[in-house]
Amino acid sequence: MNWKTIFNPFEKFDEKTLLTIGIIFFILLIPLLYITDSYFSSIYRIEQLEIKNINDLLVRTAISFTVPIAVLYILGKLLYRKTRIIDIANTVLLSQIPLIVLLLLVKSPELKKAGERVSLYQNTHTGVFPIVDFILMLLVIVLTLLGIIYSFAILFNGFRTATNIKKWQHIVLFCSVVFLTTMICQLFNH
Amino acid sequence: MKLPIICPSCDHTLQVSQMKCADCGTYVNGDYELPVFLKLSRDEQDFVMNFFLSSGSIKEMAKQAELSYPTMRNKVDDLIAKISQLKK
Repeated sequence: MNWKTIFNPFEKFDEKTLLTIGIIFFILLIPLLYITDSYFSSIYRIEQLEIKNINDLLVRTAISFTVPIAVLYILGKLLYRKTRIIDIANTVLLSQIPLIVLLLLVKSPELKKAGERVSLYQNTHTGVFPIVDFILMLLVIVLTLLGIIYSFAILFNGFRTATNIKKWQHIVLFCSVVFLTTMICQLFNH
Repeated sequence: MKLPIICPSCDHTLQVSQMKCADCGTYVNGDYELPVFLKLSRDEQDFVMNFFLSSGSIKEMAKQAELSYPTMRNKVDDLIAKISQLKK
C-alpha cells in the first residue's frame, strides 16, 4: 500500500470490500457513541447527548450519514451520469473512519483527566505546571486537525473517483455543497 | 520498431508522406493523415487493444489491472473523450 492508496483507496479497492469496511466501522461506532454519550450531528461534528438514548443517537447519526450520501449522489448524477450510489456511500462511510478513531482518542478517560488538570492549573495557578498533560492535549489537537484533513481528502478523492470530475468549477461546487450540507445537517440534527 | 506519431521538433501530429510495398518495392507518395487509433500514445493503443480483447468488459479490465471499477471506467471515459476530440 502506498501513499496514493492511503489517500485514495477508491482507486484500487473493490466497491464491495470498501462497503463492508464502511459498514463494519458504522456498526462499531454505535456502541462507541453510546459509551461516550455522543452522536454525529453532521459528518464533521460530534455532539454530546443530553439524555442517554440509543435510538436517538442511532437515528441522528444515521441521518448525518444518509443526508450527505443522498445530496452527493444527486450532485454526482448531475455532473456525471454514470455515478453509482455505492461509490458515493463508500465515500461518505470511509471518510468517517478517521473521525471514529479520533472519537475514541478524544473521549478517552485519560485525556479527560489531563484536560481537567490543565484547566485546574489555568484557573488556580497552584502547584507544578502539568507539562505532560499540556503536551498530550496539544498532540491531540494536532491529531484532530490531521484527522479532519485526512477525512476530507478521503471524501474529495472518493467523490472525484466516483464522478470523474476534473474542472475546478466542479471542485468548487463540490466543496460548497459539502459545506452547505454539513451546516444544514447540523442545524436540523442538533 | 515504435511508430513515431508526434513531431520531435514542434510536437504536432505527424502525417504519412510515403508508403512502400514490402514485396515489390513500389513507393506511394502523398499526404495522408494517420488513422485515429495510431494518433493515440502507445499506452493508450495497448489499453484500447486490451479493452477489445476483454470483450469490452470494464469489470474484467479492472480485475486485470488491479484497479477499482470506477477508476477503470474513468480511464475509458477519458479515452473516449480524447478519441472524440481527435475525430473532430
